[in-house]
Amino acid sequence: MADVLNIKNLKVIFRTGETFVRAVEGVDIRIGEGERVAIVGESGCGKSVTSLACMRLLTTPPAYIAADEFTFTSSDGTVHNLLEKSESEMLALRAEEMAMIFQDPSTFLNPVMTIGEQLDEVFVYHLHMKPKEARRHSIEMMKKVGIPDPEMRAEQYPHELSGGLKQRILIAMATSLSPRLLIADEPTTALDVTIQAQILALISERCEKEKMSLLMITHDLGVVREMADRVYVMYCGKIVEEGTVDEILDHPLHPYTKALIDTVPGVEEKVERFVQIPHNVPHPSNKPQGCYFSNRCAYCTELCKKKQPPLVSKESGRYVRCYYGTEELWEK
Amino acid sequence: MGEIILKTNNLTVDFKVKKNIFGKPDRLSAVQNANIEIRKGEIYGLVGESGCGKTTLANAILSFVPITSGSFEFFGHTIDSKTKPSEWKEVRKHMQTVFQDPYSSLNTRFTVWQLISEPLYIAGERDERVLRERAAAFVEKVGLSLQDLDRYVFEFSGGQRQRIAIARALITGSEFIICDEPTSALDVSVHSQICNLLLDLREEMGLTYLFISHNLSLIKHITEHMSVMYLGEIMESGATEDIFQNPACPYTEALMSAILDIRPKSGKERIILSGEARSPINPPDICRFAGRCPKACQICKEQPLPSPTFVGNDHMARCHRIGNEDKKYGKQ
Repeated sequence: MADVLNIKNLKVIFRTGETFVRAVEGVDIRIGEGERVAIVGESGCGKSVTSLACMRLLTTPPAYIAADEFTFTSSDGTVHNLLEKSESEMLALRAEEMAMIFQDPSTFLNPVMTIGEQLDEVFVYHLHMKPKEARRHSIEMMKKVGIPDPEMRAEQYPHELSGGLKQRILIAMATSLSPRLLIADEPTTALDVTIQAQILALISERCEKEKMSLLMITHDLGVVREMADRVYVMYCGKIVEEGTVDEILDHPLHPYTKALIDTVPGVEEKVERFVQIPHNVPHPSNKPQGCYFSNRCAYCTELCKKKQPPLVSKESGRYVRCYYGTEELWEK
Repeated sequence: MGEIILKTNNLTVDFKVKKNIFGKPDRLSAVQNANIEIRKGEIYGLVGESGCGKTTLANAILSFVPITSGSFEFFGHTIDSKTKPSEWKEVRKHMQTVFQDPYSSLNTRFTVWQLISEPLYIAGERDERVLRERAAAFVEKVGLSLQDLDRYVFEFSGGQRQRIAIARALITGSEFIICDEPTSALDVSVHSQICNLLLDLREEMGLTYLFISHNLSLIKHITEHMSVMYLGEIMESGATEDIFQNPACPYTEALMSAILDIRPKSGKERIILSGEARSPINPPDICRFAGRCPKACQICKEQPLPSPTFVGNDHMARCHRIGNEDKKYGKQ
């Protein structure tokens, strides 16, 4: 089975004035066909930049992207090298083969165009449909994503819709051409809990029906448990752990993953105090020497402070960036 | 359990919304007949989705918005819609608030000591030396250092800013603090730092909190009592543990089922509510949740919401189904 997306050693650097900020430092990501992959991490860890790099949505300059391998396989089997694509070639790939849902739906939609016009664009631009035919397809799509009364909604402007409905419109837009890969960047962070449950169920359903692969970017481990098959944990622009959902959430091997899980108390038991990770995520221009997590890690040793640990393979498909990286560590 | 320090009696807040300059304004019902009781030394949780009126209720207690009808008692004072500003100003000295977003709630042109001591300045203290000394005492209490006193807000991370906001709330010696989503703008690893700080300060200074949040698992861990709000009405209130064990209102049940737990699922079917909350403008005189309620019957859509019924020792809920489950509706 060919991988839909294959990234090896991705690096993204931003130029800010005289200095350079290394936002992503050598990330390997692989997404199989129909696979649901999540990237987890706190703000500033480079997860959004990685997803934007996949869509080639970063403006160069100030961003500079480099990778050993950066390929996307479209549904007809053609392998595209995303780094060598021109902007017009990328425009054709986006929406037809890869699509993206953003965090805040209200800033994504154009406030001076009706919902219908914005949905029509996809069909007019990519499939060269006549306006009337495009509208028929748009309304069909709105029905598919569960928007009540789509004919009326198509005539409305974004400000007349609630956050949940706007997110549904985005999902309709992104999935209308059945892309092969759907990237969702924190799709539910701006939404209420009950709406979050609706939207996640909708994304799962659309992915299953259209046989799409999913790349989910999130900081919420609950969303990961719900939505992903395989997980990458990112910290300060590097992948610190990789594995299946059950491996990562039930048997974490990296101290950062372990700490992230511990900070979220379970719903079943009651805790008196919360487990906390000391300090804050370091600024990208001010990362510690050695292991990036060393200044916050409870298990840090002299070695960690001196030298950056490599990403070591544990079992098949399981990688950890830690010198120790075993479950026995937690018993200390 | 200590004495009751805050008690609201059918507190109602309406806003008038005018569609045009002529005609009768519409009534936006933000809080409807809210009754809560907060005891000294406890943490009282207020949960609900955005737009359900939880912040408006807090603002009414802080006299940020005028009360339409009803009243509340605080430390022996009774405040209602006719209370003069001179009196509620007296009451307000004893309460403080920590806002959601520390990026917008702190003035960027003040240094930290000015920010922290500003409430004292407003209270009439003009001696700069005293102000600085008091600020210095509190800055260490919230886990910042004395060197931070002369720095500006932009030099701090979100978690540190929230610490400044907390110090600011404490400096006047208020015993009652309203925390309006104090962690939702922060990173996951910083959540627990702030929660632990709030818990420590309660212990140390004998504080009482009204804790507003949409994060149910957080509410479960830190509060003793809680209320669930939906579109301005309090649907269920009581001891947190009771509510989590036997949610009596279908809305509470749906909210709890929407929690994404990272621990392995307990095998419960998730309740996904359809649709979204209706507009709070001119609400009909029936259960406001009836339109989305998976268990709604004919009576829910015809008769007004019943007044709170005891379903446990310290647990009240409003629902037609309570006590009538078998007789009128048959088992579902």
